[in-house]
Amino acid sequence: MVLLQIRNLNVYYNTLIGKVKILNDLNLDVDYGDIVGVVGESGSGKSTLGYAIAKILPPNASMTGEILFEGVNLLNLDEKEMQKYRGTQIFMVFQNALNSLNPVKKVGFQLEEALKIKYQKMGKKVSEDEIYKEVIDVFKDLRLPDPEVIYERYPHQLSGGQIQRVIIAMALLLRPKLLIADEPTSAIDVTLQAQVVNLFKQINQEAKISIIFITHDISLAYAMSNRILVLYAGRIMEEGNTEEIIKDPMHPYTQGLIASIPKVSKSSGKLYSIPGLPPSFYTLPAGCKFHPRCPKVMPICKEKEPQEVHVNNRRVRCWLYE
Amino acid sequence: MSNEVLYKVEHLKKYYLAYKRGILDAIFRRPILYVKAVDDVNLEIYKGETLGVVGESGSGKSTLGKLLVGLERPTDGKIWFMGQEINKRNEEFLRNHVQMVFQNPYTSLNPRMRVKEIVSEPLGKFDEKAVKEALETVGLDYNYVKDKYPRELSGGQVQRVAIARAIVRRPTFIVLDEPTSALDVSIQSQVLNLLADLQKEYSLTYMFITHNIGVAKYIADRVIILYAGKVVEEGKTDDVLENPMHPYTQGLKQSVPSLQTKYLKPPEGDVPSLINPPSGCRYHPRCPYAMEICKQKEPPLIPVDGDRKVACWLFTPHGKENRS
Ligand SMILES: Nc1ncnc2c1ncn2[C@@H]1O[C@H](COP(=O)(O)OP(=O)(O)OP(=O)(O)O)[C@@H](O)[C@H]1O
Ligand SMILES: Nc1ncnc2c1ncn2[C@@H]1O[C@H](COP(=O)(O)OP(=O)(O)OP(=O)(O)O)[C@@H](O)[C@H]1O
Ligand code: SF4
Ligand SMILES: [Mg+2]
Ligand SMILES: [Mg+2]
Repeated sequence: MVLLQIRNLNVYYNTLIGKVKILNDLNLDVDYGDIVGVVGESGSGKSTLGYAIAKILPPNASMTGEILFEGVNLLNLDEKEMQKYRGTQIFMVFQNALNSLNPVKKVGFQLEEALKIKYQKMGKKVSEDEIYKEVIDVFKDLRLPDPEVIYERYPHQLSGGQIQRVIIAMALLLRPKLLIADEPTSAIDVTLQAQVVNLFKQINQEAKISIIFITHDISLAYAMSNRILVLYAGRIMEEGNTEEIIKDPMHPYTQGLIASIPKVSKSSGKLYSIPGLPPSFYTLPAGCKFHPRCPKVMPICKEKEPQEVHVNNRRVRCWLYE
Repeated sequence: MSNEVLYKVEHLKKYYLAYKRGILDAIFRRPILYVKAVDDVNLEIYKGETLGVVGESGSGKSTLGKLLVGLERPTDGKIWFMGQEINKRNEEFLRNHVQMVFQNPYTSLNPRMRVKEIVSEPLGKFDEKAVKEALETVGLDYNYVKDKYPRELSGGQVQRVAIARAIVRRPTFIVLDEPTSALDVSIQSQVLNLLADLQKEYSLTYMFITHNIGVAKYIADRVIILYAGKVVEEGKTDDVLENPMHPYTQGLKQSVPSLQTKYLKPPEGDVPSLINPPSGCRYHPRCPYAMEICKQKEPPLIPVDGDRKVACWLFTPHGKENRS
């Protein structure tokens, strides 16, 4: 059963130099209960994709295409109608968590407010005490030290990792249908990161919450997701079942990402690294956007951009498979 | 790697004031609270080796690094470098031979300085030949980068600039404090390869701080595992990371995502308070094997076999008696 359908999505940013296209003809279906890991190097357009789905792109951005959420095209909704979706239907945990809290309100109060809105939308009456307890319990789940004290704090009185946990707490409390988590564990510690990954998987299973999990760490995407989408220069290079992609990556870029992960010791030789750097959107190469860095490049790759092809369960954008 | 000892550290401690003491604290004689960032660490670093330092956030990794390069002074304990005990009088001698590279190059390098100024700063004067050589050694084109500011370069390029700055005086020892954790994997490999090459070429000794077990496996010959300011396990990288003995090392290993397993099994609970650390073994509140003695007595770091050391009651005769 499909929750979200993205059709021919293009996202542009207006800049001083002109209008630049970031996401290019992107198509994606997310089913109820899916966890889609979005991976790619810095600047590949991962956050832009998250913002586009939640319709919170910055003012200099524009988009075309369709984003169907339970069949409703979010692109046709005005801001007021969109408000009904935010929070309880679609919730995004931002990469810079600090920006998502109100600086002049106590964090506990902000979580209570969010919960009250949720119960109001559900038409459910819940006492103040129950709401307080629910918030404290989630703080405990997330190992926030002294939950009652954190409750009374303002955002600036918390560390980066604590703020990130407060935002994750908000996601756990709201239980939206679609959770977009943009590098949600980047400021927290490995053992806590693992605890958070397990909590996300738990709410996904209990409440069939779909998650779009954005990360530059393909190992983390592997632990988290059942599907992986590999972005490069705003394009889907490969998309499919997580297990299959990790065991048998088809796109040379995905192969490079996986091969770059250190596994052995330096005595057994050099680490593989993808040569060069990702391109700038202002000077994208002709043909396949990955061709200047690709070890398998062929003459056609430099001239024509490959289309996405379906191979078995998989989508790949590479001339090797056309 | 050799048997020649470059650093020897005994009972090293660094306690920070938990907060600034106000006049009222003094009047009411409130107790002074300390953060025990590094608490009684003993270790040796051999010439030419890479010692990996692995641990959670707040375990004291950066503080240990700063103590070794003289950016912080110990609260207590001794440091010998090249056979000399380091004190206030010969700190200069230490600083002439050591360097440190930090995690985030954009914040650790002066944003208002040009690349050539950043790299020449440790020299005290501008020496174009040395700067050019250092930048070329790290794979940067001198003419392309020399007049640029850090913000005009990519993350991998700026980290190379930081490394060029660290090697320009031909140091003996470099502390690399999570030098690749802000980089994409593909760029991380480039930097790790570069560091391994530099080490061979200039017979450098490294202390490499990381929380990434894969990176530690690649770069480090030996590792120490820090927990709440203490070394809990030490040994050859492969031994410690393939077959961790200390329950914390085991928990840490099972928390790190890798392509080998889809399931993470982190230890429960949170990093302990460093102001008022748990009694006995500092890991006991989170340890699945905790015994009575673990709550009462601190386990010493003892050799178990060869050059492996563990601080855990499970591995002492004393502990075994208590387990039954
Ligand atoms: N408001 C904006 N105006 C103009 N360009 C932008 C804007 N926001 C992002 N970009 C550009 O769009 C591209 C994609 O950015 P995005 O933040 O989506 O990448 P990302 O994959 O999330 O990267 P990271 O891993 O660093 O978070 C980048 O080249 C970025 O510089
Ligand atoms: N200058 C300082 N004053 C007071 N406390 C400090 C100071 N520097 C570090 N600390 C504290 O000492 C402890 C150890 O810090 P340190 O930076 O060494 O940890 P770390 O292992 O490097 O952590 P991370 O992985 O987050 O970098 C922390 O609790 C930290 O808050
Ligand atoms: S299309 Fe060509 S250049 Fe692009 S990834 Fe495939 S082989 Fe490499
Ligand atoms: Mg981003
Ligand atoms: Mg540190």
